[in-house]
Amino acid sequence: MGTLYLDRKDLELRHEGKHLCLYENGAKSGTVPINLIDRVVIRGATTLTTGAIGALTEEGISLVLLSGRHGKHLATVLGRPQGDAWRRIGQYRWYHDADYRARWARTLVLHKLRAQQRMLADALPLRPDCRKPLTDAYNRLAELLGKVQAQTLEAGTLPSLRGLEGAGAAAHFGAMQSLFPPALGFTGRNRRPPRDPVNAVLSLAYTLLHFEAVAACHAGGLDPYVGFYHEPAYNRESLAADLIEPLRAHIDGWVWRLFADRVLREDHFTRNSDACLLGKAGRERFYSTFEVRCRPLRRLLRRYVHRIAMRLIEDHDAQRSPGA
Amino acid sequence: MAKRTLYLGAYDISNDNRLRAALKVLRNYSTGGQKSVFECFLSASEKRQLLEDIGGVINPAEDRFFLIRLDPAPKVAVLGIAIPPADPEYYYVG
Repeated sequence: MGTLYLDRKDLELRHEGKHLCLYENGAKSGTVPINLIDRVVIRGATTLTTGAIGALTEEGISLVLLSGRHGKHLATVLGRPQGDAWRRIGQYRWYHDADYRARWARTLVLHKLRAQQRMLADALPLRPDCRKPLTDAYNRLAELLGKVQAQTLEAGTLPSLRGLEGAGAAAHFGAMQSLFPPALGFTGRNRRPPRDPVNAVLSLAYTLLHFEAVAACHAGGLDPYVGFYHEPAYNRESLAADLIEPLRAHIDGWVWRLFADRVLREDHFTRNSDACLLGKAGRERFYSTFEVRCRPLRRLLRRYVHRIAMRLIEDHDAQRSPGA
Repeated sequence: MAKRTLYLGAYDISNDNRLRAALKVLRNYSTGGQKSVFECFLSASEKRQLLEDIGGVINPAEDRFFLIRLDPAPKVAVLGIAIPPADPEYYYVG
C-alpha cells in the first residue's frame, strides 16, 4: 500500500482520530488517512507528536528516519513484532547449523548471480554498442555460477562463496560502468560516502530497500540481526542484508534507466568535498519512481520472510514430536 | 491487500457542531477534495465503516450525505486551485 515521504524542514505531524495532520510552519496543510499508508519515511527536521508515533506503530506502520543532508539512516521505529518467539529461537538454532548456513548461502549467491546476469542480458538489446563488455561479464557470471553450483556443502564453503560473490560483483559493476556516460564519473561501486551521482543513488536505494527487509523480518517474526550469509556484526541487520542480496541487481538496472531516461541528471547532484549528494529536485523524482519500482520487491521480501518462517515452524514442530 | 475504489462523498449539514464532527470523520478516509466534497479511496469494509461513522454523526431529519462511486476514468478536469485525486499509494511532501 502507500508510503508517506516527508522531505521538508519545519513540518509537523500530528494525529487526530484515524488520520494524520500535516502542519507547515504552524498552519495545517493537509491530512492523510492512516488506513492508506503502510510506512512513513522522514528526512530532515520534522516534528512528531507522541500521539502520531503511537497511532502509527499501533497500526503496524513502520517509520524510517533519515538525516537531512546525507540521507543517512538514523532510526527505524517499528510497531509490535509478530508474536511467535519459537520462530526466533529456531532462527538462532539454524545459525549454529553450518550445513544449513552453507545451503542458504549457496542459494543466495546463485540467486544474486542470476539476477546480475539477467540485468546485463536485459541491457544488451538497448545498448548494442556495449556488446563486448556486457557479454564478457555475462560469460564470467555464467562461469561463476558453475563454480557455485559445484560447491560442496562442507566447512570452508562460506568464505569461498563470498569470494565468488565478490568476483561476480566485480564483473557486474565492471560491465555496468560501460552503460553510463563517462561524464557521470561512475568507475565502480564506492560508498561511505558515495563519490559520484550513480553511487549516491545506489546507496540511497539500497538503504531504503534494506529497511524494507528489516520491516518484513519484523512483521514475519524473524530477528533481522541474525543472518546466515552475513555474519552478525554490531548494529547490522544481517538477515535483512542477506535478503536483499538477490534484489540488488534489480535496483542496479533501475538506477541505470533513471539516468538513461534523464529522470535524474547531473545537475540534480551537488559535490561536497568528497561526497556526492542528491539535491532536492532530484530526490522528489527519485522517491516517486522508487515507490513504483519498490512494490514488486517488497512483495518478494514478504514472500521470502514468509517462506523462512513457515520452514522454521515446521522445523519446530518436528523437534517437538520426534518420531512422528 | 484490499482493493480500493474511488468514491466521492458530499454532505450538507445545518448545524456547526455536527459539521465539525462530520468533517473529522471524512478526514479519516479522504485523500483530497474540496470544502464539503471529499475524494475517498475505500475498500468494501472501509466504505461500510465510513457510512456507519457518518450515520452516527448526522441528524437524519436535517442533514444529508452522499457517497457516489466514481468511474475510474483516467481524465479528471480541474480548474482554479483544485488538485486532482491523488494516487493513494504514494504521498510526497517536500
